[in-house]
Amino acid sequence: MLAQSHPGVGASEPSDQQGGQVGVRKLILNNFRNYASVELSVDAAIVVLTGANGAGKTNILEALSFLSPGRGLRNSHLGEVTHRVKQCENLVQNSSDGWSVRVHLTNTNGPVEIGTGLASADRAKRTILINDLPARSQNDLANEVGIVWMTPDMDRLFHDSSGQRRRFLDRLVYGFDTQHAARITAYTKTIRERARLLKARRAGAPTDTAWLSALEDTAAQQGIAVAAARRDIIQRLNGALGEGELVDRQNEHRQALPGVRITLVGKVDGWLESCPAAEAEDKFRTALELERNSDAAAGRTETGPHRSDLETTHLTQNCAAVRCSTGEQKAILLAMVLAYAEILSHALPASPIMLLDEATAHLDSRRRIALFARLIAYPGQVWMTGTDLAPFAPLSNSVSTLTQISVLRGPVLHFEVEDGQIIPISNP
Amino acid sequence: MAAPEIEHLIRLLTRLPGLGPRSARRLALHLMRHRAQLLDPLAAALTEAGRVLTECGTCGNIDTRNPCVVCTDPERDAGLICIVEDVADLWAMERSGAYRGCYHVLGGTLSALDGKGPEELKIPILVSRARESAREVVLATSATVAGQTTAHYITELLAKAQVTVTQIAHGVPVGGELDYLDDGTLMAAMKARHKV
Repeated sequence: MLAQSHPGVGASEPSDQQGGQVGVRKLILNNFRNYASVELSVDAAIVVLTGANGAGKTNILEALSFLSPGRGLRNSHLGEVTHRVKQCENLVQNSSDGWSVRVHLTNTNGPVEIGTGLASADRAKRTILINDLPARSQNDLANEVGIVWMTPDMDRLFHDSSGQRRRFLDRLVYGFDTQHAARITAYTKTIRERARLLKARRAGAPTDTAWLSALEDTAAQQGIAVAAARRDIIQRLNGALGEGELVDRQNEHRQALPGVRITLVGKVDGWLESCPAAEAEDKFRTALELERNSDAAAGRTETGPHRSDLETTHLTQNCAAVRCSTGEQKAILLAMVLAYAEILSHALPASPIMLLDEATAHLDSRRRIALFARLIAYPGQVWMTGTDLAPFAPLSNSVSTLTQISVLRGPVLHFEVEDGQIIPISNP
Repeated sequence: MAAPEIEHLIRLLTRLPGLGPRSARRLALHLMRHRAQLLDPLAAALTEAGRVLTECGTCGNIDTRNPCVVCTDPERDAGLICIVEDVADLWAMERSGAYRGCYHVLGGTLSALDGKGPEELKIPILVSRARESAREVVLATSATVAGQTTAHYITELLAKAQVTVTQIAHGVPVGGELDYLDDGTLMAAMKARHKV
């Protein structure tokens, strides 16, 4: 499996074990963003992509993010992903208008080939082939490989609207519970239907209370299920974030990432905290019934999981994340993403692949080294991007810089990205 | 380029569920090639169906008479009303042979956003029928969120009428293996367990 050897790094690891590790072995892109056609062979636990702004580093991560259900890490409209060629002054889409990502990867079942893409730009859904057989649904991808990503977009998380934070949390829940999206859709639709009836009532239409209570019953069932799934993920995340505190007190590197506690704040979440789900459902149903008039007057539904907010606390400084510095916020986010990858590892057959876009930005050198130490210890594959090579130096000469890390798991592979080309750089 | 009459036929066929332009063209060509065996009899059948088809004023079934064959069948138990979403569901129930009562076909589910209210689902007719002649109303709407909301609504409306409201079981399909079931189905099955 190991075609290339990387002198200096990873020599302590037997190569067959590296080859057996879960991760991407080959990536082939066609007509994808700024890549007309590119093929990348990787046999490493950590892959680092560096290059100038706009060189196409994130595009590689985006291509890999299509190995999970959904619209990838940019949440793109699928037609936008197609490679564009320059014609005169205007950017014109390529003639075929489709794009494809093909990946050879190793998972716990052995080698798997996953292909995904858009046959033409007017298609609404992307095609997914697993070992050349069409997948029944996008959720089939989740059975083959787990993907976790962090992008600079998420830096705004603590300053964004509560809706953005709920969406962030819900995306985390999808990784564990494929039914979560369906429940949110059902809940949202039911609340909208109730609002429509209340609006008609306010305008003078006769009230059908039986209809309202049928909707409120459904909303309570679906809403509590949504809140309970979110609560479950937060408990697990806090477990992973807290465990780190306890177990690794001596481990300087782990401590260099801040201790974090996440709480979901909302009326419904409070009920779930204090009583069993069935009782919380009753309370929610009653609240909806009591608030019909005030909801109609306000033109919105005051109670429900759609009003909850995520609160994050920097434990070491005992300070709300929103009031922390940019660098601290980045470190909090990293701690959360690492904790998520860790709990996902327990739920999946193997550790998910992590895609960290510009993860080292805003971090001081102590935090960077702590991050690299955690990534080297991480059992899954990691892909990272950055504009400059220098911040990643501790990874390449990790033997000297990270002496505290007992075993280096495998080679670190380094690529320079340059306008649609990917050039491997040999490690120093 | 086909004659306008043929283009018109193809356009109409495209509007049938499950048919795209390509399959509509194939169908049209097939019909024209087998004029004696298919096209003429089909045209006659469609004309005849268009002339006689009507909706049953009692239950909402589609039939050639009003009230329909099911509602007028003396062998059936008129005290039993099974509520289904669609005529296709009524047919499925009939195919199974599991039920010998009457029906109420809703023609969809409650949806405030699509303007489908109790009137559109003929629920007032159902309630007066239930009050007058029914012993038991069986809810057989789909096990979807919309289907269950509608079932909940009907249950609430019938609470005051002197009628037993039951619901068909949700859970493990016959011949199904537990291992292949999703969590929601298993949970419903466990909730609806009964003493043997």
